This record gives sequence, structure tokens and C-alpha cells, in this order.
Amino acid sequence: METLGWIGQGFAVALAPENLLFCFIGVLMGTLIGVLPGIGPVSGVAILLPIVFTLEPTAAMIMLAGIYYGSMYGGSTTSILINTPGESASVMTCLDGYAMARAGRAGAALGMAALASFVAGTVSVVGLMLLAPPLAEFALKFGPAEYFALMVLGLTMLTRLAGKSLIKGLMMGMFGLALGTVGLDPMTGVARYTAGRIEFLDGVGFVSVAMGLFALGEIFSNAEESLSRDVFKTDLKGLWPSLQDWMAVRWTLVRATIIGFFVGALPGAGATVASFMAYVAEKKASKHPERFGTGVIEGVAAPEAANNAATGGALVPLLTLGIPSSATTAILLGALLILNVRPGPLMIAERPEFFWAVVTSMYVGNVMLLILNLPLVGLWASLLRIPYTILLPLILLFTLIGAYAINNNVWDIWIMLLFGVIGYLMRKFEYPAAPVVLALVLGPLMETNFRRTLAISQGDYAVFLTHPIAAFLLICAVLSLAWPLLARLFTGGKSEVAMPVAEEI
Amino acid sequence: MDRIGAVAMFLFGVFWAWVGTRYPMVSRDGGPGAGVLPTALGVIIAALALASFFRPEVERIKLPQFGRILVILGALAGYALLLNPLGYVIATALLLGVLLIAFAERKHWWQPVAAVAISFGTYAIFRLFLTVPLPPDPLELVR
Repeated sequence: METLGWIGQGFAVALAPENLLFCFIGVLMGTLIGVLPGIGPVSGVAILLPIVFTLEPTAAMIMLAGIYYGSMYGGSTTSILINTPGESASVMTCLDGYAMARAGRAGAALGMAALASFVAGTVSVVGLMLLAPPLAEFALKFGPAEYFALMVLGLTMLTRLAGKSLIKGLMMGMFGLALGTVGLDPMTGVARYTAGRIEFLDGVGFVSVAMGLFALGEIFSNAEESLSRDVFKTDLKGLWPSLQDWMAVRWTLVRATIIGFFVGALPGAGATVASFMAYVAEKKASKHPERFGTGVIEGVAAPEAANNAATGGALVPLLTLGIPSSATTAILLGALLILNVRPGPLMIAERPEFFWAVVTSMYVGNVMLLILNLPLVGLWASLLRIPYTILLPLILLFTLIGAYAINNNVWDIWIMLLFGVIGYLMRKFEYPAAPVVLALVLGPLMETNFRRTLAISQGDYAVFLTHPIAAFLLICAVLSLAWPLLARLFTGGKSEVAMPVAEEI
Repeated sequence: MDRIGAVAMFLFGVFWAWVGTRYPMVSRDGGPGAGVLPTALGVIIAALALASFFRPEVERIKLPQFGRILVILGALAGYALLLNPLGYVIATALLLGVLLIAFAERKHWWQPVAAVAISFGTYAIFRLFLTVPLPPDPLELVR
């Protein structure tokens, strides 16, 4: 009953006119970010962060969450119309979505993408509501040793999934942790790696680093290629899928939502991996797997439902444990810390109004997104006709304003430029960027928990193995790294374990 | 080609570990000091870089079209240098003018006009509506 009361109160806050406005701006910006191929959710959230810092924390988080799940809706438009994913979680939608568009069914594909996103997005919020409070209660038992172990697990799983090479993924995780040691030591106040500059005392700003690695890195890579792209010109009539389409996807939606929610909640997995797994599962469950890739409606519904369900799932560990499961949620965690909101098990108990307002706003946001993406899909499609030669300078400008507005200082622009060049080189040499951002945000928290544990145990490192939950999590972390090796041993070296690769998760 | 990245990361790891050893290794309460984690991270990065050097995975990389990237980098660096002395409106108009003209297939009269209009428009939105304190021009003609 108490929960129902909080849900009611959450809706009252979420439906307040100013919060409705910020929710709308969030989902609108999210859809825009999803539609534009040159910019993904990580860069989008990072660019808009400095602007939301001027807002009250609840409104700010409602808007940031709106950008996050809104980008999942928009990504399908580019996949279907120009065969280029608007963000990495829509890669799988290209396969059948574009084929449907070529067969004259672009309207049905776009309609199904929006409706599948709505169904899965809404159901995943129910999942978040059901799972978050008991998980938070369980996590109240966690001490610094358990938190440290949980962060190690999150980082190793992301490292495992974020790139083709385990060595490079690990190296980038360590690189992010190393960057996280810049600034004043959280335990003793010793200044580390500051080179005598005041700007470094607070550490390397994760927003400038994320914008450099993701937004600028992506822009530099795009600038190498042809700046013109063809938009598939088609009649966008018949957006409401036929009864036959609905019958075909009825179980697809159930399966993909469940897969998306739980994969999204896993540390390190995220929306991209969820959409990949849902597509593969759908193909396996189908009576006609050979038709996948030729324009079947299930091939659009599965990844779109999964990537939206994953956003609700990803908020479970973020809000209840304070552990982000992807680069985008890492940035959301950083934003919450700057807004003086400390996500974790105590948050639901201490700031229930904040938690429930954000969660209920996601229902409202999903309804807004359905309206934005069904009747207005033609408008989003026409945005794609704006030449990239015009979009590129505008994206660059917003990136610059975002970097400047962090501290109202040009310093952050220089940091972003430096990491833009590093991010571009990382793409060239196939080093994943997501572990750097996750490790940079988690690094200081991880170090504090690590050293606090050892201070309590008076320097006894065995403490991590004598605490059962911490030991279990650390064993899982080791297994997640050793998994390919173990799988090869079990299969006698015959088969490689195929893992999805997510560039921006 | 992968070995270039491995060498760069090895040097970074060695540098990080070397600087890390200069910080205290034990804190006053007997726990690990400020230098332990950075030193350990530097050593691990260097070790992983060595492993990557001897097991290169990327044989060749496509040589980039440096032209466009250098134009963007130059424009962004110029913007960072000019933003405070010239103010947001002028610096942004110059940046957009350069980028719109440099990347366009044809030169149009509207490109410089759009650069100035967007610069004023975004200043109004960010400074007045969103209260982001963007630097004003030196003569404070635009408030």
C-alpha cells in the first residue's frame, strides 16, 4: 500500500507542468539524437548535461532519463530509412527495417518500431518498479567490500562486451581508472597528476572526456567518409501495423521485452547487446528463420522492443546500487553526483519522492514518445534530408557550448579536443571507449571503497574473500573475463564463442 | 599498425607507474596510500600493452583523410583561443562560417548569413532562456 501511495505521489510530481515540460524537452531531444546518425545517446546526454545542471535535481533527472530512452525510439528511423543506425542499439533494426522500406512497407516498419518501443518501454518501467525496491533493501547489507566487488564486476563485464579484443578492453578500463586517479586523493587529500594546475584538482572532467571520446571521435570518423547520404524516398502511409503484423509479433514483444529488461540490468551489457540477443532469439524461435533479413516484421519489433526495455533495466542497478551498467548510465551517475543525489540503496528510503517521480515520469515520457514518433514520423524523416555538411557544424557547436558550460571555462574545451583526438585514434586502432568512461566515473568510488575496506581490515587483503557476497561477485568478475578461455576448453577448442560487439553501450 | 598503439599505451603505463611511486604508499591509518592504485594501474597497463604488442590484432588501418579532420581541429582550436577575447557571438559566427563554407559542395550567399543568424539565435537561447553564462563580446553590444 505504501508503494501505491508513492506511485501516486510520483505521478503528481511527474505531471506538474514544469516537469511535464522538461520531460517533453528530454524525449524530444532524445528522439532528435536518436534520429541523427552523427550523434549517439552517450554524446547526446553528455552535451546536454551542463544545461540540466541549472535545473532542480528531479526535473534534471526526468529530462536526462527522457533523453536516454527517447534516443532508443529515434534510432530506428534512420535504420529503416537510410540503412544507417541512428545509435548502436538500432544496428539490428537495419536488417529487416530497411528491407521492409525497400519493399514499400516503410510506414509499417516505422509504426511497428514505435509501438514495440512503447510496449516494451512501458513494461520495463513496471519491471523497474517491482525490482528496484527489494534489490535496494537487499543492497542495504552491502559494505565497502561488496561495493568494490560490484564495481569490479560491472567494469569487467563491460570490458568483456565492449570490444573485439579482451586485452584492449582491459587496457581501456585501466586507462579510465588511471584517469580517475587525477586530482585530490579522496582519502588523504594528496594532489595526484595535477601538473600544478588548479583545473586538475577536481580530476579530469568525465563530461569533457565523454564528449571528446564519443561525440568528437564520431564526428572525426564521419568527416573521413562521404558527407552525402541517400534517404530512401517512400510513402509513409499505413503506419498502424496490420492485424497480421500484430499476430506475428505478439510473442516477439513478450520475449524481446524480457530479454531486453534483464540484459539491460546486467552490469556491462546494455541496449546494444540486448537488441542483438533479442534478434538472435527471435530468429531461433521463428518457424521461418531463413526469411530474417529480407523484411519480416518480427526483425523490427524484436530489437526495438529489446533496446527500449533495456533502458528500464539499466536504471535498476543505477538507481538501487549506484552502479552504472553502460557508458550512458555512467554519465547519468556522474550527473546525479553533481546534482548532489547519491544513487544507491539508501536513495529509495531517503529520497522516495525523487525516485518515484523519475520512474513515473517514464510512463508519461513513453506516451509522449509514441505521439512524437507515430503522427510526426514524417517530420523526423524529413530531418534526415538536411545535408550532413550543415548538421556537422551544428553538432560541433552544441558540443562546444556543452563543454564550455560545464565550468564556464575554455579549459574543458581543450580537454574535450584532446580526448576527441584520442577517441578518433582509439576508433582507428579498435580500442573501445565505453570502458574508459565507465572506469573514469567509477574509479574514485572504487578506490575509496577499496581503501576503506583495507583500513577497516587493517591492511588484510583476504577480507575480499571472507565476505561471501564480495567473494561471489569477484569470482563472477574473474569468470566473465575467463569465459572465452573456459568455453574453448569445454568445447575442445573447436568453437569460438560469438559475443556481440557494442561500440557505444 | 597495432604495435603503434601498444607502444603508446606502454609508455603511458610506465609514466603513470613512475609518477605513482612518488606518492605515499602507506596512509596514516596503515591502509594503502595515495600511490598504490596509480602505480598498480601503470604496471598493469604497461603489461597489457606488452601483450598487445606481441599479439597485434589490427593488421592495417585505413589512412585517414587528414584534410577535413585538420580543418575541424583547426577551427575548434581557433574557437577555444578566440572565445574569451572575441565573445560568443563573434567567435561562433566565425566558426560556423568557416565550417559551413569549408564542407559545402558549393558556395552560397546564405552560408555567412546563416552563420551569423545561428550565432545570435543560440546566444539568445542559451544565455537568456537557459541562463548559461556564455562570454559576451568585448564591447558588450549583444547583451
